[in-house]
Amino acid sequence: MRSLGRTSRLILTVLAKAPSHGYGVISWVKSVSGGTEKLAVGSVYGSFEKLESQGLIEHDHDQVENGRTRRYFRITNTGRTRLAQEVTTLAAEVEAAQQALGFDALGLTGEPS
Amino acid sequence: MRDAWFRSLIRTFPQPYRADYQDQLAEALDEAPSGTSSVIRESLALIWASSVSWRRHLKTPGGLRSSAFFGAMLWLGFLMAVGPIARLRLSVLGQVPEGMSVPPAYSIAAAALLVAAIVALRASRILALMIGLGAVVAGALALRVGEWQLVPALGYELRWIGLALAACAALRPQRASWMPLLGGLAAGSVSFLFATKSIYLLRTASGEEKLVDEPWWAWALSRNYAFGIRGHLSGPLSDFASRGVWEWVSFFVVVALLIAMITIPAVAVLMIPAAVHLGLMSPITAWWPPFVLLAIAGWRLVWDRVDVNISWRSPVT
Repeated sequence: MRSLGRTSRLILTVLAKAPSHGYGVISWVKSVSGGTEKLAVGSVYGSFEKLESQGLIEHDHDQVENGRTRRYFRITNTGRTRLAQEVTTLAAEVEAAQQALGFDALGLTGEPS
Repeated sequence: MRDAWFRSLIRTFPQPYRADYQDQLAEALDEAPSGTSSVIRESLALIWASSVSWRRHLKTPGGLRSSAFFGAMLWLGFLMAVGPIARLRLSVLGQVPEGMSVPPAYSIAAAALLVAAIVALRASRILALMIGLGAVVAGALALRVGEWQLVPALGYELRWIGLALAACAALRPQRASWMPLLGGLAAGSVSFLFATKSIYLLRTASGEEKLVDEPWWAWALSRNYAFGIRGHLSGPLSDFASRGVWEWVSFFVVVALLIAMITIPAVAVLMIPAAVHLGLMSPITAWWPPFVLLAIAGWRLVWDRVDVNISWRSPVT
C-alpha cells in the first residue's frame, strides 16, 4: 500500500479530532509549528479532493463564518484505519532510526554508535 | 497583481468546485507568504489541485458533457468571429480581400440566422439546427472565393460552422452558460484584427491548405499559421514579421498550448471540440484528437498518482 503524503496525513490527523475544513488544517499546522510552517493552499485542497474520492473523509456540513462559507469534512472509519496504519508504519520507522542512532528508550539521549 | 494571478488560477477549477471552495481558497491565499518563490509554490500546488478536482468532476454525471459543451461554444464563437461575422464586417465596410466577393445581403442573413440559431439552442435542438441550416446556406451564398460555386461553398460552411453548431446542439446540457461563446467571439475578433483572412488562415493552420511542408505536425501547424499571417500583415507588424520573429512567437504559442494541455486539464478538456473538429479536416491534423485524448489520459495517470506536498518554513530567528 502506498504511503499517504504528508499533507494527507496531517489532514487526517486534524479530522480525527473533529470535523474541519482546508483553512482549518492550514491554521492548525501554522499554530503547532509556532507560525513557522505553512502548507501550500493548493496542496491542502487538492489532498482534500483525493481523500474524499478515496473514501477516507466525507462532507460533514457547511457553515458561514465571517461571511464566507466553509465546507467541513469528517474522517470516515476507513480513514481512521488508514491513519492508524500510517502511524504504525511511522512509529516502526522512528524506532528503527532511534535504535540505529543509539537513542535510549525515551529517545531523549544518544550518540551515534 | 498576485491576487489577480491566484484568482485566474482558481478559475481553472471546474465550476461546481469553485461554487463550493472559491471563498475558502481566496481566504487562505490571502495569508500566503509574499515573495516570488511563494507565488511559484502556491501556483504549482493550485495547478495540481485543479487537476485533481477536474479528475473528479469528469467522473460525475454530466461533468464531461458540460465541459465539452463549454469548449464547443468557445470554438463556435471563434469560428463565428473569423467566419460569418468577419465576412459581414468586410462586406459592410467594402473591404473584401481580392479574389473574394461577399454579397452584403447574404452575409447579413447568414450572421443574423446564426445568432438566431444560437438563441434557439436554449429552447430546442431541432429548431436551432433548422435555423442553423439556413445560416449555412446563406453563408455559402455569401462566400465566393475564386472559382468556388455554391456546392463547394456549401461544403465549406457545413464543415466549419455547420459541424460546430451541430456539436453544440448535441452536447447542450440542461443549463447552459453562454459566456464561452462570448469568449470565443472575443478570441476570434482579436485573431481577425491581425489578419483579415483569418478563416483562410485557419484552413492553412488545420492543414486543409498546406503552405509549408514540415515533417513534424506541431511545427508545420505553427509554421503554416505564421507563414499565412506574415503574408497578410501590413505596416510595422509586417516589418516585425519579415525579420522572422513571428514564426518563433507563433511556435512558442503552440508549444505553450501543448504544455498547458498536458499540465492543466481544463485546457485539454476545452480543446476537445476544436481538436476533434480540426482532426476531421485533414490527415495532417488527424493527430489532434488522439493527442488531446493522450494528454487527458496522461494527466489522469500522472496526476492521480502524484501527491503534492508543498510547505515551507520561515527562518527561525
